[in-house]
Amino acid sequence: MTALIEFEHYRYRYPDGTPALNDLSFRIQKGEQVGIVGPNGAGKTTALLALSGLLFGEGAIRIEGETLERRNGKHFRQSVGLVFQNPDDQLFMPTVYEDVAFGPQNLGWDKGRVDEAVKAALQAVELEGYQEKSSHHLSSGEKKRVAIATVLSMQPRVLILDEPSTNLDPHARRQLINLIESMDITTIIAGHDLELILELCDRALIMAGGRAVGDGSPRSLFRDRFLMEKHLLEVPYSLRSRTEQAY
Amino acid sequence: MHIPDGFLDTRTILTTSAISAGALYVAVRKINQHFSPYKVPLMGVLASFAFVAQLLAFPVVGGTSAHITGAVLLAVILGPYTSLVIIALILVLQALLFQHGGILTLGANVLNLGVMGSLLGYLIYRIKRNFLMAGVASFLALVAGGVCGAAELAISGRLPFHAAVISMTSAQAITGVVEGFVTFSVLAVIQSVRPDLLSLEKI
Amino acid sequence: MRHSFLDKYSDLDSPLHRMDLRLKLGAFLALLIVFAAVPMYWEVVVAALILLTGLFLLAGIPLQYVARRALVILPFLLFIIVFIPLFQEQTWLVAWHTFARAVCSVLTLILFVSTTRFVVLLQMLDELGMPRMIVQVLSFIYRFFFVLIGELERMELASRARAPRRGKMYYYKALSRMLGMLIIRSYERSERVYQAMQLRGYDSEGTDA
Repeated sequence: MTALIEFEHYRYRYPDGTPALNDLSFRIQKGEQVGIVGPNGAGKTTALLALSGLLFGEGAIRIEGETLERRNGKHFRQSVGLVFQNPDDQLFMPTVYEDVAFGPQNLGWDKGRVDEAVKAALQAVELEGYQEKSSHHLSSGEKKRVAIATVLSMQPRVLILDEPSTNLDPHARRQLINLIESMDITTIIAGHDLELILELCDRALIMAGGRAVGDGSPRSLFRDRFLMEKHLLEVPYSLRSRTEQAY
Repeated sequence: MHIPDGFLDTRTILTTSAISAGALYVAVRKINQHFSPYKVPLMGVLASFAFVAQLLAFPVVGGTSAHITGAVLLAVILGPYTSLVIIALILVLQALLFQHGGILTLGANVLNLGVMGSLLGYLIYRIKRNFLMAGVASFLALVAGGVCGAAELAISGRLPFHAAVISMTSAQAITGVVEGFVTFSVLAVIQSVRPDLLSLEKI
Repeated sequence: MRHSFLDKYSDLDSPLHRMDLRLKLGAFLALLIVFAAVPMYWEVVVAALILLTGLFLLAGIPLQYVARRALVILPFLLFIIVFIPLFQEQTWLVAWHTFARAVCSVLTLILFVSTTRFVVLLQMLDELGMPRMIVQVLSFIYRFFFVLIGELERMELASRARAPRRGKMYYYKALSRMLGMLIIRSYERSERVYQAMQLRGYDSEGTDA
């Protein structure tokens, strides 16, 4: 079965020459919930940007079998829904409706279809009725959910969340976890919130130095103290044995 | 100084509006000729910055404070026409939201602050193209704007020209010093932290 | 957020709030032109003030609030009046006319703005055929105003926590430095916003001005 997403020996260097991705290879199947963890500088965000067609390096990225290239990059914008860490970077319209409608409008959908998509997306994030509100009046949890809705309205194949729980208080974070759990879409979550990944993902990738250095079930990976510490991470508290809790 | 409604006569309103509309028309056309999609968020966020910056109060004498416009600063970074459009939009918002300046007098205010600041100020800056010149240009542009404002008030019969000039230019000179200083300092900060911002395409 | 981008009373419900925006804008501009062109006889001014007060009451906007906002033009008025002795006989007449025009105009402006939601105004400008670029820049100014004010406030708090207030010169330098950082951050934000726009298909629709 063709993987939904495939990175094959992917390499990327920043304009100043620093390598960001170095022989990155992995596959994600439809329906998987994958977590990507790693220290800062491991290339997580770079990989996500490359997947979204905002950067182009060497090697191949395939989405549903088709290779992502500069000339067809924009074609995939609908399939890949990336949600940034900071909602203030992603909510740029005066009202929630306009932000959520932005994507569908750019896809050329007619007003009726756009309205339906907006309604469905807001329902999916449990913010029906928020259409006329302005983003600056929302709490950080609500902003995060609107940001997700702006991407969902385009009906992507895969939802990608970069550090989704940043700046969320425990209640908002819990709401977010419940929300992601309830959604039936291939999901990639990148970040440092290992507990969140443990709860939501059935598979995890550890990235370090621009490549994948671990791939398996989150529990078994995160429990491996040697592996985690080698890559500047640590075993999440909930997985530590009693003797390790002091760390 | 933003001239409120009621201070200019119909003739002056029409003349200044025509001049400003003409300048804006040229500016928008220039911007469209060199358009790239990234310029919309760039103009938008920097316009928001300028709007916020204009709200800051710089204490001068006694209890009074001065506000900067950022017209020359924006012109140095983004180019004169882009700066003009941004300043004009900010003036519209200030009139609507804070009643700072009138609606019918927008033409005059765009002329005094926008055309004088973004266009004339940029021309003066071009003499030397360094930060000091940018500061000087900001000062001179503001004073020039004051003279224009004085002329507008005088022609409208509100004040005799000599009284208007003395009062407007002295007020604008004080504000001009603040504006010059801030323009210079901000450019210096940009140079030390992100100098590439000074090499953007200027329209 | 403390700052209401003027939207303070624009969410109320009244015939004025519900009035068709194009009609309202037309009436608003017409009034401004009247106040600019018509000689300000006592009768005209009194009639105008009664009309405006009545409309404010109809719209449910507290008169005290209106008065406070109208005070904004006071500095300019005083500025003009201070120089009256330098003028000839027509002085008081000119001052009166200016005063009356300014007051009526600013009240009209406040009335319009307090009964109109900013975002609706933006949408109307778009429908009226304003260049796309203009409408987009205006909506960005609105959207990022609060974000940038927040950043500025945080910077100010941080700087106050680190250094005691010294002199005016120090204040100027500190404020300029903060503005410098703010403009850089604003630029960087615009880069991320552009990315976010691209992700939602923005540049796929070709140049949009």
